[in-house]
Amino acid sequence: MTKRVLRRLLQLLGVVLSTAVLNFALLKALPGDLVDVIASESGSVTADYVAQLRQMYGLDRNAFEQLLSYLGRIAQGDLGFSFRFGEPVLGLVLDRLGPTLALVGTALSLSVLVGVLLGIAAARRPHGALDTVISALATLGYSAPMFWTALMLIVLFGVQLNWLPIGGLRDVSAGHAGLRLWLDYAHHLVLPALTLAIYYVAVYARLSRASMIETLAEDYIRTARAKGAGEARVIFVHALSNAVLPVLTMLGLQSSALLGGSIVVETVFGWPGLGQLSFEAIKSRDIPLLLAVLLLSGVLVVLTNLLVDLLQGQLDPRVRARLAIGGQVQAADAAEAA
Amino acid sequence: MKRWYLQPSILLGGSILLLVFAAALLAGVLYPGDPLDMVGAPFVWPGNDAAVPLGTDLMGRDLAAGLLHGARVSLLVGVSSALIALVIGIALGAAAGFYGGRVDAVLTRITEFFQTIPAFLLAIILVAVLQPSIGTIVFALGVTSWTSIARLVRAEFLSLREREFVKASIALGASDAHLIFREILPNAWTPVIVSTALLVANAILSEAGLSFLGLGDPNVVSWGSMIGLGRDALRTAWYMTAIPGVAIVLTVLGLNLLSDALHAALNPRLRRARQA
Repeated sequence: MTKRVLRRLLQLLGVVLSTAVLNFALLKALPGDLVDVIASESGSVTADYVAQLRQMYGLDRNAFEQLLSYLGRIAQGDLGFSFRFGEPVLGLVLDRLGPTLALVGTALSLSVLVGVLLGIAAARRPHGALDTVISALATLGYSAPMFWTALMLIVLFGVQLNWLPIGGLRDVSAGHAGLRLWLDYAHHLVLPALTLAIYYVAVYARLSRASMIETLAEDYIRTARAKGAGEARVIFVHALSNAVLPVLTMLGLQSSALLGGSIVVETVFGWPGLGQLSFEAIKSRDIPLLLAVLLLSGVLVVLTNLLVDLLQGQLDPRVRARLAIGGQVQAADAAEAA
Repeated sequence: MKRWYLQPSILLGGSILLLVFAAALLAGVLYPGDPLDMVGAPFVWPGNDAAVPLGTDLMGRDLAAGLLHGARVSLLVGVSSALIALVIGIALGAAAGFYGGRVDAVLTRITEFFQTIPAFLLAIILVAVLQPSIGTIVFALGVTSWTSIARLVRAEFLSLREREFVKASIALGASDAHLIFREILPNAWTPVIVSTALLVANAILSEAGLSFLGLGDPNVVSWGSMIGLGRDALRTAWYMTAIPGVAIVLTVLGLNLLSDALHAALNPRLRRARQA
């Protein structure tokens, strides 16, 4: 157990390091640095000024030296300075981490809960009426682009019904404090979280339906039924822990996709999270900021995967054994193929 | 069990896709002009003017013309970027699964690394920096979406390599190329084909997302850019956003249904589960 966590943390370090190096290389390979952007934004600049800016940002040194100094600074917890926002990157990123985690966390918990329940309901009678309805809705939810779902929810709940706020983190002009402020946050969270959740409920419903159908066909389920276990007991005690394993695997695999999805959702709803920040950073070629967002999302993905592995080990002793020999990739592939 | 091609999902999915193909083919015939041209008064609601059955946008462009021309962009981007992803994914997955050992370790690390970067974010970065055009969008979506194919192909190769017909071929002195392309790959196609439909669907969704964010090719009409433009009139004229969105949903739905149906038809394990 401890050994596995340690191994994973070492792996985390490796991923962070290679993320840093490769992000850096990638961004260096792209034409146009931030000095070009500053220069083109300010209209007329002299060549002297450009050279001075390059020196100030350390862009006059060769790429290798820049990389080394970048890694050195990361090691000291210094992620650089965002010229777009005129602030240290670390503070900016940490400020935006909270709203993104709130959004993604809410959407994810909702999706897993509702998705797995729907999947179980559908799997009880494959190709029955309930299954047909749930499967059709899931396929539909899985097919709609998230930004479009967002806009349609805005039209319905924001404009026509006027029930929910359609943008921002809170109603600043109302000047709420304490509990009222938290309720206001929650009120603003509903639509963006719902948008993400609609897509992922569909994903998890499909996945858990497939895996539940397979699990319910297993011999040990027949044994449980033969011994007179009630239907609820068969599903929630005997089948569930095995049936949710692929869902968990998917959760780990999709954590980076979820962060990607939050870019669109955050942009539509003006939700001040990492997604919106990274889009801002791209638009303004704010390389230090972009590097920091990529680094942070890498860390989040690896940590999610670590969590998923641990949960899987708790749920399934076979996985625990497989993990010990480093075969978690096969387990993930099996789940993906299912 | 009914014949696999007669299942409702494959019939529905197939007809939707045929419709989208027809729209893409007929775009030039029915609407030969540039769909970016102004053809009438702006803000005409659908059904109010027979000349523009689906209405006009806030610049007076014909939504129906945009929809048909947009089908071309979606299919072109979807299919070509899926092809790029397939080539990369199959090459890396086959090499990792076939050679194993150190090759596998290195390639798997690379794949895992790409999985820690949000693919959509990487695609945005690539398109933003290389300048938005159909070509750069296809490239960006292709090089960011191969990881699932690589994992899938790797898993197939790992298991097929140990099968007896492969062992027999090795004993007969077959070359690596023969083993990879003639023996193993033909037996790994089924799951690859099923995922290819999903790849195309995801590429269409991603292209729409890029265009919506203003990172589409500015010279062509795409469903995503129509939604992005319609967003400015969301409060008063939501049909401008709704109509191209429905086109995306239907196309992606068609591909998903097709993928499901193929999965059910081609996967013997699932077929047995259904009969039981």
